[in-house]
Amino acid sequence: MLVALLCVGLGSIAVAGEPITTLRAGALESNSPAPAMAKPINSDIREIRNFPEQPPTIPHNIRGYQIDLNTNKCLSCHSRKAVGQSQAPMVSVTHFMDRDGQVLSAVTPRRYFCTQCHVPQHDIKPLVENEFIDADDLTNK
Amino acid sequence: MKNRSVSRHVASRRDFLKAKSSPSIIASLMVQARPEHIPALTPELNAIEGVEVHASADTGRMVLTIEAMDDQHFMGLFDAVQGQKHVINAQLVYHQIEDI
Amino acid sequence: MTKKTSDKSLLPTISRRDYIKANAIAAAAAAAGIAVPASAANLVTDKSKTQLTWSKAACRFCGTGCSVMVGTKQGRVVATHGDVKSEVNRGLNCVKGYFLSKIMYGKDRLKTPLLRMSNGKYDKNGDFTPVSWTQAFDIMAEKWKAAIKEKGPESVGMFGSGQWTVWEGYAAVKLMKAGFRSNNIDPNARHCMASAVGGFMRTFGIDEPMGCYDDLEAADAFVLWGSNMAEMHPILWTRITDRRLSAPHVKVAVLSTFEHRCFDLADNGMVFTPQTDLAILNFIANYIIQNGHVNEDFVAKHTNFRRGNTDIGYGLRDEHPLQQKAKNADKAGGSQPMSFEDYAKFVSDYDVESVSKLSGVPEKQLIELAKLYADPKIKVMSLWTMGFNQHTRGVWANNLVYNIHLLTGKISEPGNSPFSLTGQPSACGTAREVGTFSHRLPADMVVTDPKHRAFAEDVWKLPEGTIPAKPGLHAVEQNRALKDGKLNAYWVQVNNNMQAAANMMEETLPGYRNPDNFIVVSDAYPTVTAQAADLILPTAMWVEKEGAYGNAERRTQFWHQLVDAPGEAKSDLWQLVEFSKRFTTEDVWSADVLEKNPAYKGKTLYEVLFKNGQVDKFPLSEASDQYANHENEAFGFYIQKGLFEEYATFGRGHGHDLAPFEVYHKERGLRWPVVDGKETRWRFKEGQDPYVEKGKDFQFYGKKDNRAVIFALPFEPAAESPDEEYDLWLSTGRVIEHWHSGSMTQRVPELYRAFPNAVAFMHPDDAAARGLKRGSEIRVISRRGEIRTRVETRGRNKPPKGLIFVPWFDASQLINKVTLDATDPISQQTDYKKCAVKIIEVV
Repeated sequence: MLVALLCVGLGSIAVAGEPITTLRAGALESNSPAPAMAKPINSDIREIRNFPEQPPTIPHNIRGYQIDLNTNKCLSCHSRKAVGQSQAPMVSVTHFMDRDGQVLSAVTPRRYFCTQCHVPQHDIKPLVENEFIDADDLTNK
Repeated sequence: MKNRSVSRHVASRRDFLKAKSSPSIIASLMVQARPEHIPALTPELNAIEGVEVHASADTGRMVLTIEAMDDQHFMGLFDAVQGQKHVINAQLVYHQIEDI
Repeated sequence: MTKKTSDKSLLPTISRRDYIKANAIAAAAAAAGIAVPASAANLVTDKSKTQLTWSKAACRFCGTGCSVMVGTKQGRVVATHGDVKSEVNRGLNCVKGYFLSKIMYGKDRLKTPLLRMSNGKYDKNGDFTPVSWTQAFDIMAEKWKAAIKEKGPESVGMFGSGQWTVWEGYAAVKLMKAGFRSNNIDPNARHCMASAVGGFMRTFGIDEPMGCYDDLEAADAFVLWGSNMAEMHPILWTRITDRRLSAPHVKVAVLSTFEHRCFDLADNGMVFTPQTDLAILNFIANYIIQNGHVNEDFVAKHTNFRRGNTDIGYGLRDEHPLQQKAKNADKAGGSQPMSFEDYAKFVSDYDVESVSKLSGVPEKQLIELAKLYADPKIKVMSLWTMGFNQHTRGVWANNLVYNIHLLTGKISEPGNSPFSLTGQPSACGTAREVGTFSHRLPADMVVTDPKHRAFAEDVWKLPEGTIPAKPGLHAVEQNRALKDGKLNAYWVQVNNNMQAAANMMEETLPGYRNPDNFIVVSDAYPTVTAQAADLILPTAMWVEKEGAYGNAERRTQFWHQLVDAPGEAKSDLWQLVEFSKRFTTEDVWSADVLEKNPAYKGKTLYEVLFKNGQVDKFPLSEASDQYANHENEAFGFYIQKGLFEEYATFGRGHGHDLAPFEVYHKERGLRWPVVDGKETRWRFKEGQDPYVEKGKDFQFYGKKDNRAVIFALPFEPAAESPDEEYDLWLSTGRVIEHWHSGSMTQRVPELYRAFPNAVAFMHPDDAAARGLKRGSEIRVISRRGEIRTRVETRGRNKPPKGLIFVPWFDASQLINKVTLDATDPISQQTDYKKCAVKIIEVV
């Protein structure tokens, strides 16, 4: 009962004015409906990178992809040997280097878990625009 | 010199590109003028909607682009460039029709 | 497809049109024999146009402390990548680190102070209105002075964080403890690290890990105790993955209350019933003893045994029935000496059958786990973070894991390493080493010790008795005191505690909106905490200022100011120091202190604390001429160096030695103690640690008798467990894409799109039993509050039946409305991993 009373009580100290928060709508004490789960982008269209070192995002669904002690599903298309068949981009040469910069014959174990750097995207509009400017666009300014 | 390229893109990408409603012709021209006229000529050409000057050299050569909605629009802009005072000759180098 | 277009247009991509145009121009230029303009070139050959300025910086996110190279051009950050020269990450970053270049460029950056006003005047219920810094400090100073005058220094407070740079935290401690003479300053590291600190202080008498990340390449076995490193410390996880997959004998054991990404690499993955980690730890100690694997020589020479007080309560409000019932709530940290035999008898209750039954982990797996510790040939590294620390028996959990390393002597040697990971980039460097906790002073000193206070007053050139002896309000108490109207002028810097603190609806929100209180929030973005404030101060972040962070392996790292902050945004350091000019000693110190020390009369706090002949000792000429430094320009001296060097005098010669200031601008960080220019990788071990005396082999010099303590501590239940009505455990936590409440990462489109909204991860059977499926909208309800979210039955986290996991980064789904503010009574750290909830479908 105490809980209910407190919640009602909060109504009276509602934060005045329009919310300034950009990552949520409504007063802090309110609970907006949860947005529907966004669809994973599955276009296979490569996004350009913000700068050369950026790991490319994954332009396809990876639901159910197994990456564990036994297998790495991503490499079944992106490994050096597989790309002939899959026509997927090959993992970059940096992924063959060990901690000391030596090039190995296969992908280094330190890069084994792909999703630490490469993430799929969902079909959803960002809540806040980002005003990052690409170095090339600065050049051309 | 005419270069009419055909889009090779997959359907999904094509659909995506289609959703933008903008001119569908992009072309580039090489323009010959007298070098001393280039400073005055450049703003004149830039003033034509759809025409842009990108580079010029002391040989009197200039690089322009034309962006047009359709063939008729394109021809109008091309004529406008050619008809400019001090433009000796305008030559079409690149021409692409694209569902942009 | 139209939808897709609108969302694509937000990407900073070169459009198809630009691409064709560039080709067109290039063709014409080639025909004309003209160099291709930059706008159309595929390859820009003019070096002056492509050159970026590269500088090093520490990553802004977790406690791993990766070094990153930051590329700048025309006053903007345009690229970041892992620093190949850094020992920590050797060129790697996680997905967040790679997107650091975008965190400062969210369109909603705060650029001017905002005050709640009606009709041109401050009004707690008014609308946020832009004001100048002068107006902002005017109203702030008025409120601070009024509170101190009316109720004394205990009515003002500050909440900072492990994201403060070293000198910002240090300036804040000085301003609060020496300036306002209030110990009411605490960092959000209280939510994150306090139990680890408590564990270190109790077992070793000195804070922070003895080992370092070099252990990751030396260990034969890794045991994760309540740490999802694959998502939360990805770069350290790459080092474990590298070790595990490169050396076939290496084993990885993972313990958690739900299955997560670390289980993908686990040889032994164990899901246990919440809170029973305490019993598993005692079982391992028992197994070691029963099977004759105690390192008797080590134990005899370097350890003591103590029995800790039990039934210590749950850090709830005093009137809570659980507190009333607890026998030792007021002496939670107490303990008595005991013998090894008594200890052996104590843990003998924790046999494999009963612990397996209690924890739900099969006996075979428990024994396999225990063998990693018991076998003297296996070098074992234990790693933990919030699973241990956010625990109502968090200090105990820390003590108990040290027990098993001490019983076997597997400590302070390469690969034998109990290692407490940290959450924030400078939880160690600032919150712990500088001592921004309500009970602390720099270099592990505490306000309750008169010698420590005298030492600090001497370093700070302050009158005797300036620093109050009573510990201030810790994080959770601050929110309670705000609600109760005891804390009235309150300043929050570099954190989002409205979103981060537990029990928002009963404590945090009513506290901030209490009409008796004036709340100031310094932030770069309009967070939910800013929303609840009365005054918002726009703040410079990360490489918009010169900074220093200290990571989990005692490594201190520096960076320069690389770009300017937007608009009127200023660093936390500038804000703290500038605000100190608004007070004279007469405003804040008692008359008798000033009578006894007339030299301090009429001086501003700025003069007393910062223009004290030490902090202002270094001229601007000592600062780099390659980089801007806004604070130096503002104050006229090299303030970061002055603060750092004054701070370093606390630790030099006391086991916390830091190198000279300049060294850190050159090195990729150094691990303290740095003695004679050399860093220390393994503390307490002869030959590695310069503080260990010759012939001692090991020396736990944090304790007067040089011995670490093995504690007898039992299993005790959680503060709240599921029952018939609230029938599920709720654990909160993070995801790899977001850090620090999402305030920065949610503004990076790629990270937002990777994980846009919180969800409730749950077992498919639990969902089916409630008629729910993946995507169903639900209310997650506790006795304290509720949120609306959606069911996720697959994906990266796989909870067992009876438990749900909800990440807390999402400002639109504030899961801390639901959580319980039960804390560890010793560390006062909140348990975010265990409370009881029910789920109702939204129809």
